[in-house]
Amino acid sequence: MKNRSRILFLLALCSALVLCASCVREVVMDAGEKPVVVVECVISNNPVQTLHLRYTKGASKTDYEVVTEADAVLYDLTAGSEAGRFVKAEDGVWTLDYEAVDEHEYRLEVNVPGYDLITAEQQMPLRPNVKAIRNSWCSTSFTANHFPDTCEWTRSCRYELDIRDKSAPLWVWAVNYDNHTDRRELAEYICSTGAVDGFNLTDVVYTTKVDTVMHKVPGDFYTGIWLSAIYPMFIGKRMHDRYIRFSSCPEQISISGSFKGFYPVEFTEDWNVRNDGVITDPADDQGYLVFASISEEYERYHVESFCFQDLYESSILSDIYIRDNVFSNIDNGLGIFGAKAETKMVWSEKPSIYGNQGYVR
Amino acid sequence: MVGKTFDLRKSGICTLILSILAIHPFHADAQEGWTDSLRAAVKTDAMRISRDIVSLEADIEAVRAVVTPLGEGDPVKWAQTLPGVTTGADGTTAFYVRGGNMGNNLITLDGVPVYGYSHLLGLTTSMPQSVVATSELQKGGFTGPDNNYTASHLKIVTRNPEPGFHAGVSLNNFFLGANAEANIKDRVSLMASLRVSPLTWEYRAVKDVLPDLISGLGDLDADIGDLYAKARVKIIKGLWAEASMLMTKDTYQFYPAEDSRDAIGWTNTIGMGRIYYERERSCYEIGYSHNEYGSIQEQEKLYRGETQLLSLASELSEKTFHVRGTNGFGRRDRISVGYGLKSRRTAFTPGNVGGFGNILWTGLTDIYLQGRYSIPDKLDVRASVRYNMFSNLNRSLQGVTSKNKRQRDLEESLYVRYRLGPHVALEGTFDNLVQYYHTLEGLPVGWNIDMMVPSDTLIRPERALQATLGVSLSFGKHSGSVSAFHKKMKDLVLYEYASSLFSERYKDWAEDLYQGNGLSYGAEFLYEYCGRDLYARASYTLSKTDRSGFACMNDGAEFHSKFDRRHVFNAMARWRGLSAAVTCMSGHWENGAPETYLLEFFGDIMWIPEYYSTFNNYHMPTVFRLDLGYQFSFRTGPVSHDVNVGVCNATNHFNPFMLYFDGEKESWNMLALLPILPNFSYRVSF
Repeated sequence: MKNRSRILFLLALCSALVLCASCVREVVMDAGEKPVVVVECVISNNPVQTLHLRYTKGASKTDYEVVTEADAVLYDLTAGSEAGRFVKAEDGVWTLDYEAVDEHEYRLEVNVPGYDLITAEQQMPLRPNVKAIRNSWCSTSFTANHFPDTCEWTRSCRYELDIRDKSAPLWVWAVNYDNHTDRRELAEYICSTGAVDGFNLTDVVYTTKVDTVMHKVPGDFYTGIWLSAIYPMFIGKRMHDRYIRFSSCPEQISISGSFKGFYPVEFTEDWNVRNDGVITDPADDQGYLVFASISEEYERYHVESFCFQDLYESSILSDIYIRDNVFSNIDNGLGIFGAKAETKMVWSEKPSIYGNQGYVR
Repeated sequence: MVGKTFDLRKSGICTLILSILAIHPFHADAQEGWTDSLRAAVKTDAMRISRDIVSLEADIEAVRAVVTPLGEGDPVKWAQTLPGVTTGADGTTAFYVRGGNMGNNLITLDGVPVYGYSHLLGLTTSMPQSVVATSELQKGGFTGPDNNYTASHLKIVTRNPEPGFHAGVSLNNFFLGANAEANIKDRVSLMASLRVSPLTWEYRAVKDVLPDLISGLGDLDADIGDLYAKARVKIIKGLWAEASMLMTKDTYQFYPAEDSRDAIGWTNTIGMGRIYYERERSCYEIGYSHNEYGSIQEQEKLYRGETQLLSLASELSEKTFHVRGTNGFGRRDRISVGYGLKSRRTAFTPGNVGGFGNILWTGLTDIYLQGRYSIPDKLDVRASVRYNMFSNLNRSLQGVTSKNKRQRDLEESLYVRYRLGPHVALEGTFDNLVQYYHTLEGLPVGWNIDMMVPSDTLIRPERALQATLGVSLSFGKHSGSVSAFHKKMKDLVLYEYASSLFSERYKDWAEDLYQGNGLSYGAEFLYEYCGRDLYARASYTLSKTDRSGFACMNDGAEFHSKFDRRHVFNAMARWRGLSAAVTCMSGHWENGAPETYLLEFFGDIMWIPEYYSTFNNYHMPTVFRLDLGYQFSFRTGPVSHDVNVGVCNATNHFNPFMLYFDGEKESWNMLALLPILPNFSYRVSF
């Protein structure tokens, strides 16, 4: 920006040379172009697929308009048949009762009056096979319940991964339930002991609140606790912004982050996590971890989205001169037709002295 | 280049008819000193510019008649009013011809390139009007002697002194000038011109008197001037020796704060010598020129108690030797042949930061052969072919082994004119052009601080292929032309950070340079009326220009060229010293104005991405300008006085040329340079 201000100074001087008293005017940057249809549909192994259709808007308009009339069809190219026709749920939203099949190729066709046929294709990835396992330092994790203020992060969760489709990127994020807003939200920070991508690393470091490796609570029957035992392998790690993306497929990982709320974990009698920690039907107020294999194009969209969000939120004004578009795989439109196969997992394996349930704060 | 001249006010015969009927193809005009096989231009009256569709010429009177902020026109400002030409920032000397880049234009002074042609922060040109005889803009059907450009050739020819001794002084808004000339028995002539700008004093005076007007701007120290001198000696009949030099300087130092200084500037130092021999049917010339062009950007500021200096300098030093000749053959000189060789050795020092930079040595040798066949009143055909041998001695050229680093290219040009009748002629041209010097263009304001770099292994030569077809008409006092052109450009250069000033990135310029293609096509219209007291001219260009294939822009897809102005209309009328000119043209294209849309991010967060349908997607407002002027002369004894007064942009129309983001207000703003501006110039000569 410094250079730009120099340029402006010189140009202002040019204007001054010709006695220009008023050579600058504010402008609303609207190119007046025809709105483009924005498609957003991520097919998954969930029972209902949702399609959002909106329009782009120029700078001079105030509201984002949604598509009110459209005909959308999903084709299973692998099976060679029509998977189904989307039904309008409300303006801008169409749904389809259909569960996408792993590794099948799909084609989405959307017909919006006044526009060319909008199309996109995707292949479903394989669902990741994830299993929650007990930490070997279970006893110390148990102990950690007595020191809830020693760290603002959750204690570690440990998972065993069996990634069948090693080509599909694996993303993990945590979903919190917020009592105040009555909705689920992404946990702000997350980190892992696995080999993760560093594209969204933050400056937040996983630290304990107590500035000593040996923490002792007066009067407690424990003589002291090694914090490094409670929070193994995380101390000193930089947190990721909302997501971790595994750059290679790990076998066993620990995950932690800014997870909040109550997350029951049940154990079997032999102290294995019940159902391997997989949540098939989370309760409305339940948080969980999502392990998702996502299609290559959907991943590219997310990585670029993340980078652009980071730019937009930054205070570097020169970023406003960036003129690149976020990746889109929609022909004759914008947005993303993605595919993901996800597994929802409990995120805490910490046993509780109150029974086979554990919780954190 | 230009042959015998006619004065229609004396002959009373229409321009074009005369030009075809009566022009001797090889007759040298002593004022020009050089002819080739091109049919001579015709000076029909004070203003008329018609020559042919792709080559328009005017003498200094017509050039001066253009109303500008300096009170009188200059060759570039004149060229900006012609069909096929569009301007950069309104009021400046940046110009684009038939979809080419600014750096694709060649501007020569007596055949020697002037790389830093602008003056006074781009408001005028560095060649003093007092020494200019004619100005000619070629857009196609190019002639043999000049090369290394792909868009246009603006040929500025200096005049030779009138017999006797003459001197004059001039004054306008921004320049003080003096010139003197002597012609002794038409054997020896001398001419000199000096201009300096009192800009610093003017600026400080305005700042003192009207501090609110330019509040917030620091002090200015500008050093602007030019010096031209020319000597010409007749050795024997027909044999002339000539030497000339041009020195120009533009440096601007700004002091935004007490502890900081910014400076930009550019200089030209050109020396030229030639000997030419003219006979009735032939002409020969041998010459040498030395051309030094440099630009600087400096920034000095106090940082942590120490003065930090960023110095960015770019230089070009070119030595050129040429020899050429023209011979006529056959009955009525129906056939003529031109030929020549030019060899130049150039040292480029682009992006020299802090005194460190590599010198890139290049050599460019070309030979050309040009033939012309004409049947008076019927047909005129001119064809030229050139063989270029270019070498970059530092980095070998693409596809060429290190053993032989030369890049060899053929250039061809063809011009055909066929008269269908006494009032109508068909014209067609074809050109295949190559350019080895590349300008990394920044702001379109005509500041000659853009770096020039040569072709090398990574930077391919720029190329253009173009064709023109048109009809020229002439009915008494009315004349005009209609033509269509199609032009394909290849390997145009684009420097990603060219708009940056004071940036050390220039040091690594090669890493941020991209090449792509261009396409331009359109139609050009020109109408002229030349009456006894009234002269009127209107030109209109309807065109479309695209760029594509730039890896860093729009994913290589097609986008608007920045100055893809669909409509460009210029009109001017002059009646007994009163003149009015109207410029109206489509706005240029800026990059911005995204659509936005809502999108979910992993099904949780709604965010608002921006969508740019293409690069350069925002159409700036239409440019409109009305210029009014009045020119009158009077004498007091032996002293003649010429006065120009006028108003530029009389309607004070806001003609923005640039967008920028105001970080404090968080808003986009448009910036214009030229508001309503009274101007004057006053010249005294004796």
